[in-house]
Amino acid sequence: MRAKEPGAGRPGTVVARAAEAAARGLPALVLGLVLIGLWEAAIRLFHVSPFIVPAPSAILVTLGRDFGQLMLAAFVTAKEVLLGFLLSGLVGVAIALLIARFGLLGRALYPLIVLFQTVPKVALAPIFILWFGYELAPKILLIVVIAFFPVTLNMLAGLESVDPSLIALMRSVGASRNDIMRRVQIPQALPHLMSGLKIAITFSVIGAIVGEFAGASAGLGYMIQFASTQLDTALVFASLVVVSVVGVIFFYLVEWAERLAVPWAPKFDPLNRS
Amino acid sequence: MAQIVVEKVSLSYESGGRRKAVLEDIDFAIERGAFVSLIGPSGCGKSTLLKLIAGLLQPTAGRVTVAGLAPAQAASRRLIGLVFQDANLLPWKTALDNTAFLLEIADKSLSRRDARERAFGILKLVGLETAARLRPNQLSGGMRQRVAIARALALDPAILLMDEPFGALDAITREEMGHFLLELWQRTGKTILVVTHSIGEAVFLSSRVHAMGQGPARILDTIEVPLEYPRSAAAFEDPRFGRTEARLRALLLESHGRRSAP
Repeated sequence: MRAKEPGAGRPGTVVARAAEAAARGLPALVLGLVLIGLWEAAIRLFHVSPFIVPAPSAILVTLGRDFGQLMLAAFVTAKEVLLGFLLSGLVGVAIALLIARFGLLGRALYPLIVLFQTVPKVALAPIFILWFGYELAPKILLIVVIAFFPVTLNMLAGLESVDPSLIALMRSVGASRNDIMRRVQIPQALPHLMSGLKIAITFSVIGAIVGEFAGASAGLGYMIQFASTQLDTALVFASLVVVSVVGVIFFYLVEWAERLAVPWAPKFDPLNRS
Repeated sequence: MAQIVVEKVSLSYESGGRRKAVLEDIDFAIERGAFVSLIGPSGCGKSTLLKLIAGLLQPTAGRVTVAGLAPAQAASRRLIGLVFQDANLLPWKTALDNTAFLLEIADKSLSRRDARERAFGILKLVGLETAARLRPNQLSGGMRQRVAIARALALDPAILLMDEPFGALDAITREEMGHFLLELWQRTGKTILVVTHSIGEAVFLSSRVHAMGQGPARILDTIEVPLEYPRSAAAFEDPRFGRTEARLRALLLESHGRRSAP
């Protein structure tokens, strides 16, 4: 009978880890470059108008030309995403805890939340603008209504995934409902919560852009809308590139937080599948 | 002196307007310090009976007493330690913290440091002191089950109730754990009641085996195991082991045949 190697599978150095990550990301990078190459070739070959689809090289030029403006817009959008995401997390967790802890309230609340999810949230954006004006609040609110649901659902699944035998074991030594919640259910739910947060962060980016479409004077969503009215399609695409970069950065920040918060949880690594 | 007394216990529940009997007229007593097994086919109600003794369920008729107390009372006085088939360790805690886990809940006056100190002593008892800092995913199946046993022992219960404790382990580890459990029992003098569906395991471990039939579950027979302690692997070669095993097998097969006969 032997313990498994505690450090098994853990690469030795930061450099080795970075090299491993780069190697794992290589297929995606190669495929991405090939697709961009094909795109560039197609635009040149078929003489597609830059108003319809700009070539990747034109997008790159625009990115360089309007870099300062794009970064200012990115900062506005990132602030909305971050605040909206944090609030979505708080609201999502609070609702899940209420549903799991108080049976009657849960039975009353859960169907209403599910019902609310069937409402197309994008349609709420103009209403929020009407209520709260063109400032930060309507965008944050829109992000919260879009992004809290996956947090609630995942957190609930985690809270309810505790083995009944473990609960029986705790009850047998006099554990209270709060003991069970605090000592087992909440820690057990953390990996599920992190999965919910990863979905929520991507929804938050969508929420921010939709919010800016509906009414804003700054941000990447506003930039996209403004550029499209000017028929500056290259700027629309350049803004989309920046939106994607913002989204990816936020996603990996959440993933990094997950590694710190729940190092014991098994990880699904889509880049490392055989 | 009997430490666990099960008197004419029945359990039934209502399902679709019909009453379904799970346990019927179960009657037995277990003396202090005895090692007893409950054996029967899967789903016959052995685990339900164990839960009744642990105070996690109430009988619909009859009475269970543990050390002269109602089971729930005995559990709240920490007289009962429970071990299930799944070790159910908390993946974010080390083996040491998992061992101290129930103790910390049961005795809130105990400081964390004292609880961990006591838990370390128990880990030593089960031979896992070197694994104290490892997390469950760094332990083998047998080691995880030892931690689960240590967690129950940390409460210093007089009685250990074990529900298929080695059911999820491979054959070799299962046999190793059998030896380990016997050694632990001899060192601690606890009363142990094990639920198992392995005839060999029941005969090897216990001084007495209650064989249960199903539909609804009742005690078919109680068989005394004519083997002395301490027992080693040589017990498997003893003709008395073979005879007891054969007797139990015949009993369970006969009950199964009666049940499945048209």
